Amino acid sequence: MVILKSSENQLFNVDRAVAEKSVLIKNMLEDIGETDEPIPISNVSGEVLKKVIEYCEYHKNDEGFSNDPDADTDIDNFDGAASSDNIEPWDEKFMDLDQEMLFELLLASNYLNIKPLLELGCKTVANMMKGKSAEEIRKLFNIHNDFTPEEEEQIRKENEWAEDQ
Amino acid sequence: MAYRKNLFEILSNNQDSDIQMLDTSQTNESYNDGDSADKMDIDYEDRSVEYLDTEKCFLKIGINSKNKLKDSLSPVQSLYNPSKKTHAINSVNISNINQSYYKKSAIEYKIEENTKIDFIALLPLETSIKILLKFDLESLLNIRSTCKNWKNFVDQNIFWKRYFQSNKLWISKKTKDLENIDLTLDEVADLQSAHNLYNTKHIFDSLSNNHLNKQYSGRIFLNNILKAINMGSLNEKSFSKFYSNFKTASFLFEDTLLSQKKPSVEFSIDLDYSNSTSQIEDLENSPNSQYGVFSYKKNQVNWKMMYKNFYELDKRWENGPVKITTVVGHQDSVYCVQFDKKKIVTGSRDNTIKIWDIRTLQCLKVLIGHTASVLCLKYDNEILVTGSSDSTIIVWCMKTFQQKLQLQGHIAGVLDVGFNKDFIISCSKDCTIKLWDRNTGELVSTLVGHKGPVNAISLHESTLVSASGDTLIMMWDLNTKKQIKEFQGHTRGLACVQFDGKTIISGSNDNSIKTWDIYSGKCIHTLYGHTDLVRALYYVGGDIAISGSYDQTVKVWNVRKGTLLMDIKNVYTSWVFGTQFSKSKIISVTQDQRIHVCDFEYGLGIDSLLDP
Repeated sequence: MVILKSSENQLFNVDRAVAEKSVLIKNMLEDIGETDEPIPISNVSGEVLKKVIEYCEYHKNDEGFSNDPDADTDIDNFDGAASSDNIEPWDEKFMDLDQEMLFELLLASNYLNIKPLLELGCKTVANMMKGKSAEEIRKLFNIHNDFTPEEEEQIRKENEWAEDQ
Repeated sequence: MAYRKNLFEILSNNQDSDIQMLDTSQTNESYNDGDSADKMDIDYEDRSVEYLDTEKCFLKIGINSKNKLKDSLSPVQSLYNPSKKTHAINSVNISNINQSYYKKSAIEYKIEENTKIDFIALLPLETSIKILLKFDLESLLNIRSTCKNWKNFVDQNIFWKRYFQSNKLWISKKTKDLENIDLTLDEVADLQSAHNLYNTKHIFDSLSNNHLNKQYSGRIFLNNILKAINMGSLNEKSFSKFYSNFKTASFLFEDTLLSQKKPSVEFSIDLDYSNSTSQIEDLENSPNSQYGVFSYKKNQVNWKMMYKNFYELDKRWENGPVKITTVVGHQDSVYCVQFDKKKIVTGSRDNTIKIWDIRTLQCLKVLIGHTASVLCLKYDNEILVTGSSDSTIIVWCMKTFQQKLQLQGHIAGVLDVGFNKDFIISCSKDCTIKLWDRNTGELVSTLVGHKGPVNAISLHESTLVSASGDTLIMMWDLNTKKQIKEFQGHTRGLACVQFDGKTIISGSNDNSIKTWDIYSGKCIHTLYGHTDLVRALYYVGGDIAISGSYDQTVKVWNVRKGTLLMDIKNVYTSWVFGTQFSKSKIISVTQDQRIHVCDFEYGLGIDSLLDP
């Protein structure tokens, strides 16, 4: 067992195998060796850490759960646009979060270096935006439209190359 | 002043050599053309297709007057005028996203109740890119129109680079090279012409505008010039301007020469572009150099442009447009064709083989040796193998274009050839297939089995597939020299066959094309569409195959799905005898002496980046 300590000093007992889904923690454990001391995860709140652990618990037996630091290549191994469609039901339910939590979870998975969770988070955010108009997206994320009508026209022209003939 | 002399020597040598090259090619052509006319034989008709079906009466092709095509040296008929430039956008700037922006805490951006977060702006750069990489193009461009910040994010060169890379079908060895900007001259010229590079044209703009000043060291200046020469930006017009600028700037060189104290070495810079780049970059990295408009950092790949042009190419393969150029290439029917990035090789009933520059469609060489129609050819970097109705095979050296070997043994016309690292293989109207030693030309073995003329073969490693007028496809193991399989299903003779190691595709006089699974021996798809004999097929694996037919069309098929993708009609005015495609072109040859180039890539400047 490993003890993880959140930013507000909340403690979590986790199977070492589960904790090692995080490349960051895995590397730390390798550096420290066997220890009973809590491992400080000072960038992640208890609430978020709990979510992260829940994910890692559920996926602890996944094959191909990439926690190999060498797998950190520059080019992602997925097939572009098509890849965000296939999210497993459990993951989809797990990702049914408010934006704040989703955001924190993305930051945490990035910091802790848990690639599948980061990937899942990115897919989720991408899916929120797909198929929506610019105005719908602005509403969704509360983004101010700072283009002038002329600029909007300019962008529309710039985007023409991708339109079907 | 030695450095100046050197430079001008480089300049003038460069020009001279250009002219010389033109001269040589012209002399060659006219010489060979006269020669070939002399050697022209009177009719003897032995085209393979005669044997495909005896019931069907094929028109004999009359003997053509060889003299009437005197202008065949420059007979480029462009049916499409590509003068309209389609690349309006060449000023996509790299936005330096302000990193500190991302470091603000999310909390500052929260709205009280139903918290909404600007993910793209607030997540780490890499994570935001990950999200956007999941978008299809339409959604992505939609993101551009959301707000300025997101637009700037999407417009980053680094983003388009990643977005480009996420399309695996586009990645080639050359596009990978681009990531390191390690380009050959040809590639730079291509990319530059299509604005796929940032800023290259500024080199001469700024020279003409007299913006030279002392902060550019002589070496940088010279490098720029060399680079411009290398990239071909220095044409006659700009040269005079450049020359006067050069004179006014010459003091720079003297200054720097004195200070650098190694003049002779300094200015014998190799005309190799990659070398001069590395020198420029060295200078750029030194803290003292200031560049202004000469910034070669900007001479980097414009990945958005790259994406657009690859995307456009994909689109053209679906809906066009395509630039079609037709050349009357020979004095009689053109039977066979093969091409690569640089050249087209054709063989004809006029007994000659011609090598063409694929860009200019100028004839570079005429190979004379066969005494009858050249029916088939294949080449690699080392050798060209041609088969003829004179029953022989000639092996030519691809460097010198001299004859290396002549293989004699067939007792009738040689209808198709192939080779691997060990053997040259030929098939003939005499119903046999022969294996020859690639290096010595000795006959190794004769494969007997077909009961009709063997019209076509296709070789993958040591497995050979043959197609015959007897309606059968046979598969042979070249190690044991034994037949290992037979495929039957066509109702009439076969004219062509292609084999990629897994799938066989055959074209027949029953007007159909069949795809075969080699393991089960079963026919997977029968492709209908042609209304006459399917004379030529080209398939090298993947989804796409093309076919050429006596119905005067070339068709593009998805052989996995068994569907017709494109039907090129109204281009060919006669029987299609041979065809090949690359990622950028379809080139076909026809009975009416013509070579037809369908260019899907024109104006995009990415041909040199596509896999062959």
